[in-house]
Amino acid sequence: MSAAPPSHSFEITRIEERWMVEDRTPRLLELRGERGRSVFDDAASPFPTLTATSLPFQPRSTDFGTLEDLRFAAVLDALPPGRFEVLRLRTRSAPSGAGQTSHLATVKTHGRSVVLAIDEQAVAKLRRLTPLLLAERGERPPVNPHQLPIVWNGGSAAVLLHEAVAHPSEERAVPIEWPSWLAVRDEPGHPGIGRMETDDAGRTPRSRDLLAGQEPSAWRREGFRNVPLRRLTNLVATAADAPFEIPASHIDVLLLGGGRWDPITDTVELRVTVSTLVHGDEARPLSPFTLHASREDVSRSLAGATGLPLEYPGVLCRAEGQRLPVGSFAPLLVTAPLAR
Amino acid sequence: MSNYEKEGASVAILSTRGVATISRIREGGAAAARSERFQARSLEASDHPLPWESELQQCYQTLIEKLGPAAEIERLLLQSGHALHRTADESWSETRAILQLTLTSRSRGLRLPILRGAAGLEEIDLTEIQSLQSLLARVTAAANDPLSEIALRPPVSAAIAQALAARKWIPPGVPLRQSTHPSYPNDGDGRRVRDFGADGTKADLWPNRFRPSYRAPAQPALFHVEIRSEREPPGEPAIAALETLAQPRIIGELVVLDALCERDGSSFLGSIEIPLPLLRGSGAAGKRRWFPYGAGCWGRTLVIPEARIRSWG
Repeated sequence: MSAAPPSHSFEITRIEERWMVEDRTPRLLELRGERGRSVFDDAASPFPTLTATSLPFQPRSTDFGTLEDLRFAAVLDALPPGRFEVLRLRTRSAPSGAGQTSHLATVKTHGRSVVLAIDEQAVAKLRRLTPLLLAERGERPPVNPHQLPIVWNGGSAAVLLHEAVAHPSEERAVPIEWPSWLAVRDEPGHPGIGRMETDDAGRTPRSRDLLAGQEPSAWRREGFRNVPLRRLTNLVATAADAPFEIPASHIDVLLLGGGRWDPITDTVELRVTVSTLVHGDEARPLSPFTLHASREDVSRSLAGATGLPLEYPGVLCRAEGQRLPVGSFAPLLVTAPLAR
Repeated sequence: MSNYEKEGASVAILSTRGVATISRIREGGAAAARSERFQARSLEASDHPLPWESELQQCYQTLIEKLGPAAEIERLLLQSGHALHRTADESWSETRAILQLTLTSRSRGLRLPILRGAAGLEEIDLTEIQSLQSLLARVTAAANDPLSEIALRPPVSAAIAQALAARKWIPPGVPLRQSTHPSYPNDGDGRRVRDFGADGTKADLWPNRFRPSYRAPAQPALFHVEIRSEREPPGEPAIAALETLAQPRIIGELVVLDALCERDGSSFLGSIEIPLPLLRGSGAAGKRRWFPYGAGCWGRTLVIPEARIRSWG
């Protein structure tokens, strides 16, 4: 695979809005709009060269229609009383004649957030996710969370695998061994917030087997100033003939607030924002905590999984300083204690 | 309502994931803040001439040669650019060169981020970078000195000044001042940046506002901030902190930082704790140097009489 993207020419329009919704009254606080053109020449000497030029952005002459506005207004209207910050991001890119749009919103409250595609399902998804955003704030974990099994609910295992499998594959890290029942693929054609029919270099991205050491196929960029990099689109984890047993005592992870993989130490860090501590029939909410584990320990801890992949409510990945939406799908998954 | 426009051009070489690319960017943008709403939009880029690309390539090649083939470079960005800023009352221009380099030592699990900036590429000291890389490669464990005198070299004292300024509240007695820079006399609103004693102040009293990009609203900030000392240090301590491994943290009355340190020509990694009141008693030596942290920072060698130093790595 080539290390630099192929030559392409590209135009992008991006609109970012920051809204504050207090007791169901929305206020637009920030609006940023930009258009730009970039031309990438992979044969330039001495290095491949990006030439980027800004274009005038006119707020009333965008490529976005009233249907998007109506769908977004419905999302704002579906928020319950309280204080919510909503970041809306619309992007339209036109690489080499093809074009695609994305329309997302991040809904934040009390240090928790979910990312939604603003489509016909958005209001229904938000209503399902609102209880997570408003879940009771719990107590500090009474034991080290690394010493308990974890049940990764609602597709949240996709975030664990995003850090432990996908980022290492983007950086071509040395592959390690994973359980034979697990498959983790980058699926650009899968429906999800990272869906790409044409990547940001104008090519059709392909499905990739990330556990086999393949890097993502798609070239992606945040804006017209950025050189595209190979980046994940939709992480889809599946399990076939996997063992599965829920331990009597465990942590149920429900929502995460971010994560990272450090290529120097080969370790994963995940911030868990909504979770419960389960002992038999008792469940107590926990306050946020951070998990640290080596990639080897994550692999060793994978104890089982069941069911079809569930869609986790979105990841805005910030690797290399370029913020990109990534779809995340994983089955219900159990890890043994991460600490050795 | 406040209005602001910017146009500029830059050339950059970015090396990441083992691939180097050149970016030539021409960009214009406008921002307006009215009541509580901020709006920013791109403008048609003007025909600003791009900075001299061959000079940038020469600087990049020189740096790569100085670092040598054994250097572990995680990320390298070398950028040169100029910009014209306009508000309703003022217009001003700036040129800036930036070096962002992250060196690593995979065998030790270490990362050393280095940030340098100046009005021109020729002002960036590549020999100093070479020296830091050599010391990082030779890190050894050192004996712990529970309480030692330590010299904080300019990149470290400037990073502490930035960590203090970023808190938006400067405790009384901390000798932090906003200063000036001859190449960057204006703030993000076009106002002149003037010398300002910041100890005991909060951000709402600060006279200037910083605008890191036309896409961000201007915010109160301290410009070209420095920890000022009029004292001469009594001598040169045996231990010097050369470069921070991560941004210093202010925890209660302590400055806490991890740094690449040197003692008798040997290098080690030190976790350093400095009580804030000791900044007032520090002595300063040597020429002051400017760093592009936040809205700008000055650093000199600061000699701290009693710091807690723990060696690791």
